[in-house]
Parts: sequence; structure tokens; C-alpha cells
Amino acid sequence: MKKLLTVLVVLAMILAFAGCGGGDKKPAEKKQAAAPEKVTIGIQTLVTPELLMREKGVYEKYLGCKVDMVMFNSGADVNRAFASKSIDIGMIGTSPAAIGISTNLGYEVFWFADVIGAAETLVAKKDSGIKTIKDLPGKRVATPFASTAHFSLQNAMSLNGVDPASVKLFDMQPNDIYAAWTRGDIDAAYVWDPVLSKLFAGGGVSITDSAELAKKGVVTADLFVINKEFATKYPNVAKGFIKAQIDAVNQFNKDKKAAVAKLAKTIDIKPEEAEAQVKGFIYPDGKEQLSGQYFGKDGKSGNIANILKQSADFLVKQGSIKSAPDIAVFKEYSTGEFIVRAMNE
Amino acid sequence: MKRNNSDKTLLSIGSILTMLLVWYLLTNVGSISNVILPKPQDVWDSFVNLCVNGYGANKDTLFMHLMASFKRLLIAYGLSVITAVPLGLLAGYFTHVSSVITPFVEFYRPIPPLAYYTLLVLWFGINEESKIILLYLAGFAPIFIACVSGVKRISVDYLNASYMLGANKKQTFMNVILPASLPDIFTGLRTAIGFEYTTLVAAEMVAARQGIGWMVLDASNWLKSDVVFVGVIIMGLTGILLSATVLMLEKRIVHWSGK
Repeated sequence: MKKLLTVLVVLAMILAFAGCGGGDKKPAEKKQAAAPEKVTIGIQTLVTPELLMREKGVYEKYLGCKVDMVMFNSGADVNRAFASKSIDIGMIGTSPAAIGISTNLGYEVFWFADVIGAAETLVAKKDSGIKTIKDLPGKRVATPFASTAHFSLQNAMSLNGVDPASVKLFDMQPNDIYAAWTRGDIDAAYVWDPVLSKLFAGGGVSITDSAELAKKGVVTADLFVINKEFATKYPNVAKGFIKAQIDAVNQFNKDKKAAVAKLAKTIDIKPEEAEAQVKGFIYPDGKEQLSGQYFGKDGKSGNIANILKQSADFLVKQGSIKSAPDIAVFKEYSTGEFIVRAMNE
Repeated sequence: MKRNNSDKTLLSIGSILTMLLVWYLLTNVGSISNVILPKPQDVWDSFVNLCVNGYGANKDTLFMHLMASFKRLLIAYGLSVITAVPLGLLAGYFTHVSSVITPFVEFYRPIPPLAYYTLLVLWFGINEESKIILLYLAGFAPIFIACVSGVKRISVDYLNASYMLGANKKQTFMNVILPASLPDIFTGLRTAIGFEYTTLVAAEMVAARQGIGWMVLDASNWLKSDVVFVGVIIMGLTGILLSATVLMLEKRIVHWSGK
């Protein structure tokens, strides 16, 4: 009898806890557009104009509150951080973003950090016997799984009729790829900088890259996403972040040489390396992002939802994710509204 | 006595059933995200799917992934046992041997395997060798140290008695030292299989294409929490099985322990 009672009490407590799970835990703000105590931003080591804003105090000024920046090595790590509600804003590739939206992680896309061109490339060793994608079967190829590079590689194989099971595909982080390349353990890799430049320097040849794939309709990009609840609660923070990005791209376009030198210093690489990397990306500015190619004129009807939906559908076909939601969901979780607001100031 | 045992079993079963019920309610009635806590039915469906349709580019079944992991584990364990036991016993008996080997063992033992694994991959490559070496190192230290202490703990009276009765060094070793240190050797063997097993996931973190640890890590990258749960639960159950096996062997071989 006692045992039964205990079980019932525990059950009741758990149901009560579960019932109010997911509710707003923060006390109600008096002003609608107040600022949060702190914003946590997840970033990756990519060469984009965003780096120009990483000086001390700059983000604090734009966002109006304390800012914590956390470094991540891959989109999959950023997704995990969103799943555990550890970050509010994050930089993430289009394919991991499609996964995140398909699994209801609660974030929306609100800025293109860059469109990936030759910045991600399939590099093969000169003596590996790989001249085109069709030579990949039987070869050892490395790429970080669940990244835009992995996505591009899968698409490249699919477009060329190569069965992925016939290729010895290794899931490796970029620096492990470099070590394996040097040891001769792999024949090719689809990866980005800084490792990409090292592979070229070590006798690598480009087989294809994301710019070529984009021409064939396989668009990959790095996006900034924001927790949708957070953005609704603190629209000024979202707008402030976008304004910072708009200013960053404008600053970059005004004086490319100075900007590149500053970028190089921020992540501690040589200016020539930064210059080479910058050539592999496209950085659309505020006005361009409000065009049909990205978010659309009103911030609601751009191509972004299609890019995300296509990525998700492809991943379902590969068996990487179970299902992809309708395009309506991707339209709901991508918005240029903060760009519109920031541009209208 | 009988009532005590059945009470204990009932309590354990009751506790597990309660947890399953709570899990079911939290995920089916409550509002926890499926990525944070997958539904038990989804985990079961995943389990069946993994057994039948497999996981990964080569569609290896759950069984094949388990076998791949166990192959690495058992080879490494076998190597660590046949090297650490003799070396440990020798080091316990001859202080010179101990002085040579022990500093290295004591140095690398507390270092988390993941910290030096990337070094191993640099030196030995991305194939099976580096994974087996990592598992080997995880198991070598506990066995070695247990054997050393096992020999050192033998009362010097036993050794003196043996020599007095006319036994030579080899006879003393086989008939006194070895049996007397068996309890400690087995403690080391049990610790080692545990350490090696927990290191398995680290070993499958870099450039693995098969294995239960790899499957869990890969599923995590795609937010497939149901597959992660299947993998973690299977690892827990097989871990218990491995420990129980070594314990059973110990009870058979060291039957005098505790008497």
C-alpha cells in the first residue's frame, strides 16, 4: 500500500512538471522590447565580414546587453547547442540548418553570413588517380559529416551517378583530415579552410567545388540563425545583430584590402591567406539579401526557404534524416524582417 | 532468507518499471523535445530498424556494429592481458624491473585517453591499429599495477617457507606467487575490461566507419536521439555482461577468495 502511494505521488509530481515544461521560465518583462541579461552567440572559424565586429564591446553596443561568444567546430555542434538551449544566435551551414528546422530545434534563419563558392572544395592527391568524381569508387575520401561540405560531396556523387557505398567515406574533423592526408591514409577530402589551403600546399588538386555545384543548383551557404522565441521577445537584439552584419559587409566592400588585413589579424592568419579564402565566398549586403535570391523584397518570399527545403529533401533521400517538413515550415522559420527593419532605420 | 531475496528482486524490477513509466509519460504526455528525450516507442522502433535495416553507408546491422566494436575490444584486451600480467608479476618480484617500467605506466595512466588519441592517430594512422593501441593502453595500466601490488602483498613468510622447504625460484613462482596474487590479478582484469570498454567510444571517434560507439556519435551529429539511446542502452547492457563474465571466471578460478 505504501509503495503504491509513493508511486502515485511521484507520478503526480512528474505529470505536473511535464505539463508546465516548455513554458516561459523568465519572469514577465514590464517593457515589451526589453533587453535580455545576456546573449550567447555561437560562431565558427570562418572568414567572413562578421569577424570585423569581433572587437571588444562592438557587439555589446549593437545589441544593448552583455554578449558571450562561443566557438564551435561544426554545424552539428551548433545544433547540439541549440537543442540544449545553450545559445541564442548561431552561425550554421544550410544543410545542418535544414536538419535543425526539420527536428524542431526552434530557430529561424535571419541572415546569410556567406554563400559558399570555392571555399569548400573536393581536393585529391595528385597521385591518387582521381581526376573526376566518377573516379571516387574504391578511394578513401574524408569529410566532416553533417556539414555543408558533406552535403556538397553527397550531391556531387549523386549528380555523377556514383554510389556512395562504393566510396570509402570517412567522417573526420578538419584537423584530423590534415593529419591523415599527410600520413597518406586518405586519397581525397571535401573540406574548408584553414585545412583546405594546407591540402593544396601539400600537393592537392581540385576535383570540384561548391561554386561549380551552386551553378548546378546545389546551393550551400553559412547562415545566422536565432532562437525564434528569443527573437520575438527581444526584437531589438535581433535587429541590432543584423545591423552589425549590414555594417560589417558595407565596411568590407568599402575598403577590401583594409578589411582583409583586419580579418586576418582577428583569426591570426597571414593577409595573403585571408585574401585567398575571401575569394571563395560571396558576401551579400543588406540590399542584396532583400532580393528574391535570398530573403525577398518584403523579407518573406525569398529563395531561402527553397534552399532549405531542397537540402532537407536530399538528406531524407540519403537516409540522414527521417522526414522533412513542408516548405511552409521552412518559410515560417526563415525571415528577412529584421533586415527590413534595420535597413529602414 | 528466501523472502529477502525475492523482496530485493521485486524492488529492482519495480524501480525499473517505474522509470519506464515516467519516461513514457514525460515524452508522450509532457512537452519535452524529442531530441532531448526520445519516446520509448521510437527508441524501440529504432532498435528493430537497426537490427533489420542497419546503419551507415554500408547498412551494417546493429549486430555487425557490435561485432566490429567487440573485435577491437577483445584483441586489445587479449594483448593487454598477455603483456601486462607477466610484466606486472615480474615487476612485483624484481624491483629493478619495476623501476624501469613503472614510471611510464604511472605517467600515462591518469591522462584521459581522448587527450592522447589524436597523437596515436598521427603516429599509427586512421585504421584499426590506432584504435586497438588506444584500447590496449587503457587496459594495460590497471592490470600491470594490480599484478605488481598482488606480488608485493604476498607475506614474506610464505616465500621463506617455500624456500626452506627446498623449492627453487620457478617452483616458488608457480606454486606460491602466482596463486597468491590471483585475487589481485583478477581485480586488475575486471578493472581493465571496464576501462577498455569506456574508452571504446573515444577510440571510435576519429575515422571509424563501423562500431557501436561510432554509431552513437554519428547519430548524434544528425540529432537522431532515438538511435543514440539504442546505442547507449546496448552499451550499458553489454558492459554488464562483460563484467559479469570476468566475475564468473574469477569465482571459478580464485575459489578460495574470502575464505
